[in-house]
Amino acid sequence: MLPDQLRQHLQKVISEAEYPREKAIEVMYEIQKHFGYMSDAAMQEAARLLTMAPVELEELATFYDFIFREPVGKYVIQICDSAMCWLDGYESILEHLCARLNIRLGETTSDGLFTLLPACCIGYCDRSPAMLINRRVYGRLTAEKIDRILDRLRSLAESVQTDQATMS
Amino acid sequence: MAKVTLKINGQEVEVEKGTTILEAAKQLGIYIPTLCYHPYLPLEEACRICVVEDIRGGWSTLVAGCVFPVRNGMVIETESEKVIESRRTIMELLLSDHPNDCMTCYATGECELQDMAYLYKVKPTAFEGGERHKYEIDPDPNPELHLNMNKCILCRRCIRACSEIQGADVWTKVGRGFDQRISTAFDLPTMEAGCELCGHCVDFCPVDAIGWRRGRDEVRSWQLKPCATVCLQCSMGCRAAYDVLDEKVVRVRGDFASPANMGALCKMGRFNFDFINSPDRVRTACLKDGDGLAPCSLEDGLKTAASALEKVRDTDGGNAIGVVCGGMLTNEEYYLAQKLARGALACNNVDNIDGPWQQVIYDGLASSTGLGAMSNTLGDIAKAGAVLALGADTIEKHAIAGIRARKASRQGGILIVAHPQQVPLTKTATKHLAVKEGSEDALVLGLIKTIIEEELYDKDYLEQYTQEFDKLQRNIEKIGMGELTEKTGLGEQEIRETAQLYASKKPACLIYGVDRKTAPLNETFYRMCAALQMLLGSLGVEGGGVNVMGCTGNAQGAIDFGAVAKYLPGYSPVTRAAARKTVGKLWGVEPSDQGGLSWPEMFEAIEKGEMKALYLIGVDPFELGYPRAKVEGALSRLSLLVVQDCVKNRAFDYAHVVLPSLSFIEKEGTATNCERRVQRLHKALTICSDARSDFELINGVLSNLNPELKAESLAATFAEAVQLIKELDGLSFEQIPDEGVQWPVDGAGAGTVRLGLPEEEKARFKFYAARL
Repeated sequence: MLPDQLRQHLQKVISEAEYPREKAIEVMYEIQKHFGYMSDAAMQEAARLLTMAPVELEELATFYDFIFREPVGKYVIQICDSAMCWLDGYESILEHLCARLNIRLGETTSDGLFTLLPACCIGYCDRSPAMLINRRVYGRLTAEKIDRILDRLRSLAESVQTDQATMS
Repeated sequence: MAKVTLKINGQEVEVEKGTTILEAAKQLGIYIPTLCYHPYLPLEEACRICVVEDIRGGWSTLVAGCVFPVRNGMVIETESEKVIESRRTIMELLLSDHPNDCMTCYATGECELQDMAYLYKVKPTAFEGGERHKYEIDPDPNPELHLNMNKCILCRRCIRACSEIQGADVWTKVGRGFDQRISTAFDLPTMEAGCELCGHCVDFCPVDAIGWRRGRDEVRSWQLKPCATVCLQCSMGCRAAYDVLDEKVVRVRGDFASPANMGALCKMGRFNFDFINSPDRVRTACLKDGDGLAPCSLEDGLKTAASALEKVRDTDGGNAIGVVCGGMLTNEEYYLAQKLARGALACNNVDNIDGPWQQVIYDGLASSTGLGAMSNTLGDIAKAGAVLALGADTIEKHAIAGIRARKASRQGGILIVAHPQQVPLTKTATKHLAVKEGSEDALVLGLIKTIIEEELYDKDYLEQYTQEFDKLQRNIEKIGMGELTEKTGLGEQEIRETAQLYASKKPACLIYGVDRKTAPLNETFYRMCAALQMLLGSLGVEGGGVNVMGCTGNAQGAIDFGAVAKYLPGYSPVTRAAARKTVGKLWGVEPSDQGGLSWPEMFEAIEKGEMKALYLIGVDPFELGYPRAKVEGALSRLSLLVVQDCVKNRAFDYAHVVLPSLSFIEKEGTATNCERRVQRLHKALTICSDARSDFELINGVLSNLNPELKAESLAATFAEAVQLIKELDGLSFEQIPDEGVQWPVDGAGAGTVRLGLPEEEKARFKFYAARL
């Protein structure tokens, strides 16, 4: 199922490791970058490349917040739900996000643009409450700041779409 | 090893460095509670119920006793207030997300969580009102496992049992934090996720999260009476504990103390006991009455069988009678069956259903290595550098060998599986060779040819420990690779690569499992297997060897104790006059000097009208692989058919006399597994009926025929047989320890774990010419 170029790249990455399993996360990331998420078929393929049992890889994938085992939106918002952010207004931030996006935690917007997920402490306690969007950090969140970020991402996505439309 | 001294609860103890606190405490007889820990699984450190206080001068810390290694001068308290308080909190947290429905739970009475709550007087009310999991109950269609993950305490024993013991990798922990749960990869149903129905996860589950289907809603744990005996459903000789209630087996657990299986069981051993509980159990003797069978007293049955056999012997001669034994008899029963044929019925027509396969194993291996059976132990397979698995589907038919082979491959070894189809073992194999069925002989020759041509063999080893290598070397040149590729269906390149791979990591371990579905290979095949191992310097060493495993439960014992046409007990050929004389001296009757027939030959003789009477002991002739019509034709030609079995089989329709016997878990005696281990069987179940062990029944027939030949007891029969079997020299029935003894036994009762290297001045391993 993997494109040849990606497969060869992954085989090279794995061959450089002393033990293939060292590269498990890296391999999953690369495949996820290509497909957007790790499907069961992708997991099987990754396990084969890494000479691991699929069940071992599954354990890792489900433990690690940044591997998505289901399809996600273009922008994955991961809101920190650990102690510091909780103290600093996580709940109202979450409520605002849910209202703006019209989804609950763990869901994706109907236009496929945003997915909202919880994350464990991301180490930005000094700028709490914080969240990640496609692994970029946004700290000291307020309702207004969130609105600005979401609007910007939405228009960005729209302009890309228009560009693509004009090109075709 | 360096020693470490520490104090536990004020008592000083000296232990080896690297010992855990738990193990050190055990040495002092101090109990530390555990849940996730299990002595037969790798350490996990998941539940922390084993916390102990590590006192360091003015302060102290809590550490997990099951994993924490001891340190010199350590001061440990295992029952301090702090410890008890922590354990109680851990228990309260566990119970806060547990159904606590002990009254209707199957595990009640044997639940480790329940015991712990009782010990620490913990009630499930401390965190009442908190969030609880609500998983579906019994969501999985697995035929044997009942899942209720609401009861799971996440100790992860199931994961470790599945991966470390079976190597099936079905279970894993999915998600994290409160969302963590035990599931399969991609949440597939267990059977689709590769469940092999070994049942280890059920055996290890401390609660009833992964539970038994058998006995559910029917029995309570305290009603069950466990008894350990040896499973005779295949040649592995696993010891298992049978949980029985009245006249029924409810479930089966592995016996961890058994060196053959070390607690592991296969799906047959664990779940295939319906035949014991069957409503078709034979409870009385029967005699032919018109078209059917009429019950009679056991005494009448035995007398009629004896007099009818006597009549055939006296009118048509002993050669008109055949005795065929099944695969689940004890050594003493096999011995008595052949004594009946040879001593009382004047024939050598005695065989067991594995006989034609087992006999060539002995012939091939004894002549080339001096030991006519599996050279190493099952445990050795896990120590191999490279494993070559030939013959039957190993996980299915020889499960313990299969999981040991998997273990070797998980520890970095090479695993080559030659089987026509993808089988469970190919999943973990380094290489799978899709050989044509029954072409292992050609494959082994191909490997030998490559190893000799490419000089991959161990020259020093050959020089020091073997003889007549030149014979094989000269002869192998004449066999063309073309013949071998044609027979195996493999390419030359594939054979060559396999040989290089197999030779690349020592010790090399060859396993061949007999499958009665394929015709027996000849003795040359086994000689070539030994030759391959010699070339790689892997015969006579730990983790190597030529490991040939029979098919039925006591196939090894059957041939050892003479239930085969060609050999008297102890492998003395029937054709040798001196051997017959020795037996004659012991019995007072000398065996016939005419060679006997194997069971396939007996069927031919029946068809030709030469054989008139057949005594079947635990054999369903319709299961021998012959077409139905052929068996029906043969059975209806007989003038006398005596059928002795514990469950009704199709041969009953043709029987003149039926004798009711017992299953292997209902009798005493000894059995020998494929690794030559002689083990004691124990009566785990008692059935109230006229059924008796095959030993008593054969003995009944025998004493009616000739009271002089009658056996006094199991022990006396074993002792009599040992006089003829030099491999069991001086072994006594009572002396056999729980773990068994592996033959050859020296006069002092000590066994032989594995074939060693030939000592100087002693006969070396021998090469033979190759033949296809």
